[in-house]
Amino acid sequence: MSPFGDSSGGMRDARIDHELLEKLLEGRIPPEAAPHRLAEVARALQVLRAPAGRVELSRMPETLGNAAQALHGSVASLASHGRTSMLKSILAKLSAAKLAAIVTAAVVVGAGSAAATGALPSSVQRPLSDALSHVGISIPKPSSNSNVKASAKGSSSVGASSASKKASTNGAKHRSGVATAALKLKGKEHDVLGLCMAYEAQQASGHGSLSAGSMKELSSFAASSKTSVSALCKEIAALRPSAEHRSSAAQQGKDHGASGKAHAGAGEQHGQGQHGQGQHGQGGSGAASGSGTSHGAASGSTGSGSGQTGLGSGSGQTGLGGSPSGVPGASHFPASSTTGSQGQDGLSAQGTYQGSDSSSGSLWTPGANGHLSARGHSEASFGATQ
Amino acid sequence: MRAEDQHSMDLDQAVDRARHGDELAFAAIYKAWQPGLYRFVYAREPNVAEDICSEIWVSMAKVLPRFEGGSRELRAWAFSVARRQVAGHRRRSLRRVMVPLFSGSSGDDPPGAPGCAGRVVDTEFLVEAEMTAAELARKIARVLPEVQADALLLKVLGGLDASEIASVMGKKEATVRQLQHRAVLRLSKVLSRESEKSVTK
Repeated sequence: MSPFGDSSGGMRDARIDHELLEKLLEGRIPPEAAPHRLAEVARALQVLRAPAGRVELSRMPETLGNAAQALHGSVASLASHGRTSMLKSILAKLSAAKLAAIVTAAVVVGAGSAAATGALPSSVQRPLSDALSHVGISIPKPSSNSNVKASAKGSSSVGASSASKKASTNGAKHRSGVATAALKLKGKEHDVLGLCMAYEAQQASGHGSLSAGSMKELSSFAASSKTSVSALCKEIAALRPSAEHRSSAAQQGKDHGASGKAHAGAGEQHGQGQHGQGQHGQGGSGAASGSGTSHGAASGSTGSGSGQTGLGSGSGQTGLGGSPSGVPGASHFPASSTTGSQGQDGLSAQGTYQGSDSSSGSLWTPGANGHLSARGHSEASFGATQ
Repeated sequence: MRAEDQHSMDLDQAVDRARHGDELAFAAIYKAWQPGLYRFVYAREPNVAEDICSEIWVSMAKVLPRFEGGSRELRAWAFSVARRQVAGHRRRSLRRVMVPLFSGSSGDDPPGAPGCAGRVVDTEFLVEAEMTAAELARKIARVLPEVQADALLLKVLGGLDASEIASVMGKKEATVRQLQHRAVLRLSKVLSRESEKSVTK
């Protein structure tokens, strides 16, 4: 028996159309319009849908306050979690192969940039530059090579500027592998020179004035230059004119014209000064520095033979300035270059070497004044005319 | 466009804004759904209806930013949670039921006990003019079997369609329609009887 008694048969008869049921439940049939047997139901369902009463919303402020806190906390945590998960998802999507490709690309780009800017080590930059030059890609060569290029260019404008003088210095280094190697030992040039002098003295006198340590050091210099000690010392000695040499050259400068005389005088002083110190241009670094700095300009501007200018600026310029066609300029050129090229170090060897390099690319022969004059002439005129 | 659809669209926008932390949008959702939710819970657990509803809203606020779906899905979720909360509270209440020192001979469910199929329903059903919607919902829940009452109340109070109710109740859609149909017929019968009684009186 059903809760409604024996009315189960009546229920079967009271089937409700599906559409009617939907309308009734959705409140689309008002009680008045509903079938009679469903009018009460429609009325009850209407009450169920009544607007909210006070009691039902009595806790709204409290509930919404708590909900708002929870909402903001959840939004914030989701935002932070979202950033992390986004990064994770990106990394997860990147397979190992892709990651490797990206890293490789970054390395290639970085290396390419470094090569293009010449920032790679010279041992890498040089072969790379050579290799790429074959395929039409030009990247700079290592700094020493670029200086060589500058030197090659600068050699045609020796004396035009201090920059060309510097380039000339570098060019000199480049043209003599032996001396370059020795001179690369920055701050040790004096040592090499001194050691060589001691070595030469030892060789000349026959008895040892060179300690074993010094000899070892000299040997190491020679080894770094890939030559023997005697050859190294010979070349270094050849690079620097002797005091006599410069002095005589200065004396020769005296024999030239008025301006040449003046220059010769200055040159003589200069040469004598250096000679007096017996350092072959190693000394007198202060004045030498000044003269060296303005040497290029002086030599360039005094191409016509206004040695006065050169005189005013320094001893080295004297030689050059006053020797557009004369030996004295050539004789002084090394001195001035010496002082100009390396400043305080008074690197006579280098300066001398530079002078020889910028003149003709050949080494001077110490004491060979005749040769020196000839070469000095060409050098002087070269420096003046360029 | 029906007003109900427009209302649903507005609620969709509100849900979308609330998902991003808009408190006003969340309040709008609360005002729209709280009455039906409260009545649904009140029909089963009148004493803790407010507490359960508050818990549901806070839970919704926590879930909403990660919730995928519109207003209809969120409403179905809310009533599903409400139904589970009520069921859980009822289980906890039953554990605390004390055995009466003297029991009635019938062994019937006590008045107000959870409805179940075949139980003796409260036939003292009157739709009084002053009766609130929550009280009426409770009356309906007492005269109808639980599943029928749920199928009916979820439709009327929650505005869920058959498929959504089927999802909430874990039943087939056709079963839900059948339950609703039976609920309406049974309710009609009871109301008719009560109406006849009132007339004869």
